[in-house]
Amino acid sequence: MNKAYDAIVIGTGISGGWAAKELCEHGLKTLVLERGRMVNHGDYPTATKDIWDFEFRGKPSAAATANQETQSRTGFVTQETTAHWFVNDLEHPYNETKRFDWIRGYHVGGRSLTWGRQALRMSDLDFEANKLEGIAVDWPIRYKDIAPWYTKVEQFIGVCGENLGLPHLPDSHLSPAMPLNEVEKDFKDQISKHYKNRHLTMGRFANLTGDAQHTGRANCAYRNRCMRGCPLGAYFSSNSSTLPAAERTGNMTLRPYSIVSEIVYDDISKKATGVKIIDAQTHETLEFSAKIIFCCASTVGTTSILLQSKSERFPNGLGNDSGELGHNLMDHHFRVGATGTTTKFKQVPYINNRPASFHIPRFRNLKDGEPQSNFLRGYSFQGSASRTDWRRAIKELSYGEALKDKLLKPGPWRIGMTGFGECLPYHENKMTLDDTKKDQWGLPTVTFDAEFKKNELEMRKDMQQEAIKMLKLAGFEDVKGFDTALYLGHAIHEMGTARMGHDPKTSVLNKFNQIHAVSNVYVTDGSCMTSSGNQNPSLTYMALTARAVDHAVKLLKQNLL
Amino acid sequence: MMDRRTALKNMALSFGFAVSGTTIISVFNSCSDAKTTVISEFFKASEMYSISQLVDLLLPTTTTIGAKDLNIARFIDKMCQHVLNAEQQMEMKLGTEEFSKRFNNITGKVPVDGNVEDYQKMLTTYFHISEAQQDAVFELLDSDYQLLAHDLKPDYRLYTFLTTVRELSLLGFFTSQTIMELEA
Repeated sequence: MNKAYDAIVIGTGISGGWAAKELCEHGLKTLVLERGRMVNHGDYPTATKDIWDFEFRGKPSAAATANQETQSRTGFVTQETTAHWFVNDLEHPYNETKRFDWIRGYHVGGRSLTWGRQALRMSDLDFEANKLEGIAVDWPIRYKDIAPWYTKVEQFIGVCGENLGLPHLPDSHLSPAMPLNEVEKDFKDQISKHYKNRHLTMGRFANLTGDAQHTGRANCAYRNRCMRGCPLGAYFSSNSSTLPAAERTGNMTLRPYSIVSEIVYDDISKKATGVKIIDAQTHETLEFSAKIIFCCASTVGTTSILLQSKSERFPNGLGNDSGELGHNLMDHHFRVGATGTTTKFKQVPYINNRPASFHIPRFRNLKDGEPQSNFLRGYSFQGSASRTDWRRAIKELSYGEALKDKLLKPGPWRIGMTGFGECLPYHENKMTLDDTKKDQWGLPTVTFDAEFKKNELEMRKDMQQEAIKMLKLAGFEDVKGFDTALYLGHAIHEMGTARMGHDPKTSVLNKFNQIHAVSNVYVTDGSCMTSSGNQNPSLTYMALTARAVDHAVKLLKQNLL
Repeated sequence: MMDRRTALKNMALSFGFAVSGTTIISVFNSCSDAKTTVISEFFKASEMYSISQLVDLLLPTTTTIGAKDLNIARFIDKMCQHVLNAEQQMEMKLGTEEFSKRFNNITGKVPVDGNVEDYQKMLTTYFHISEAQQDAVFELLDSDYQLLAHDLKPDYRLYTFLTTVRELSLLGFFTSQTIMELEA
């Protein structure tokens, strides 16, 4: 018999974990659905392996690559160390009208296990931009609406870093920053000397430092293997943090292998009544009911579920009165920047194991900044300096005793940084469902049709030029620019396909992440984003989720849902 | 003295020697007390001999251990069998043949009869080249083999073989437990 719950959360990634924790802590009996396998905190099979323990020293075998061909285009996620956190492309096919690198982790915890951990707040420079520039639609919230929720999230997940007092990078609740090394400190000094509005700081990372207590978690031990899962729980993931918190309440029922095929809508009450799922292993169909539903299945996952949820009232997908569902697909553009070397600091001892990078916050198109650029919005840089290892000799033909002796010692310092650029929301950048191509569960497959455009291309030119310029000004040698991948999905920050807005005619969600016309369905993953900013977005998803749960619980108490 | 036995033992443990394949040769024939056999999967026995010779010249045993001590030849064989994709494997096979041809041209011998001096001569010929020539080599290797002009293909094949052996030697050696713990 199918049980009724107070709430259903679809997805266990960074947003779903937060929805589960908050709903359960408010006393709601919550069913948490995950389409993939169970992963308990600590079930990290490669976490304690050294590089020599991997059969192919970390490189994916040709056989493994054949199963993850499209995801291997990123060049890193399918390494032997982490490949098990990413899906089999053959079992989970999708279609590309234009290339889109869809990187997916179908298991409990989702991509919260493999995220970059950079936790940056967005500001009113971001929330006001669409309105000021007449782009897409206005965000229905401003910084003051989300600020307390950022703080709540930061306190729980633990973020280390440095506050700079910049209006466009609001101060956060932080534990002590990880240290910059000598080369980075020197670069920071050089930047301060040459620029008034450019700052180099240690990135804000969701790795524990300092004295705050986090249940079941320990401070970062600088193992720098975060993507494999951390047995110490030193970085934030659903598995180490939010799901155990939800579990402790006794209110959570977690069901892995549960693929949501549809959200069931009742036109009389104008509400969703529950969800239909397909058991991924048995292919059995089940239905669960609840008073409220939180969609946290990832941008593409949630949007697919909504598009699949057709009814007489919503023939084009649940909540799709505006026709915007699936549109405005965004991702950050990156892998553009510069590298350089220095022969200074040779005597400085250094072990390259810090799981964090430096950050140069946005400096273009600030209200009080330099002259306006020939593009809208801006970008930030993330990078690091380290001493080169044996790989510096790959593109050489040297050999013999001298080579061996040389490579047994650390090489010169090398610095590199990549920009993270904002992508504008374009209606024509979209994902759709193809009903003629079904997956093994009989569900339609996703087709991507999106590309970066002139604004992003102009921005990239500037990103590379400025990276080169800053490194040269700072005295680095052999400075070279790079501009490699330019495909959506590559930054794994896909967002925007069920955007928030004031007007139901032009947006899918309201200012509390409720579907405009179906008030008991909340969407709080990346699909809700009205614009992308240049900041790594997970912190914003978590804050919006906590805020939306608070809203839902208040309405529920007043019997308004 | 090294701990060569320990290194071999570690290596044996890490590789398990549980591979399928039929080619069996003696790789550690320079040191009878540590003689052991290895099974190759990708290369023929005669080719494994060439690779062992090259590996020993690329990262020689000196006062510190060298690639031979860590059985890097076997590592290269394994990587070629399991990590290279079909196209790369085909190019590697062609490269091995090209190397054999050049070896014969330069030394007048077949590779399996070559001694250390012969292999040294090969590396001197093809690795002791100017920086500009080296750049040209890596530029050539960035090309699509199928689209290359006919007269450039032999060099592409040869250098695919030589640089793959060299890069995998570095990878196998410098990411081994023995060396990484030495560095730490």
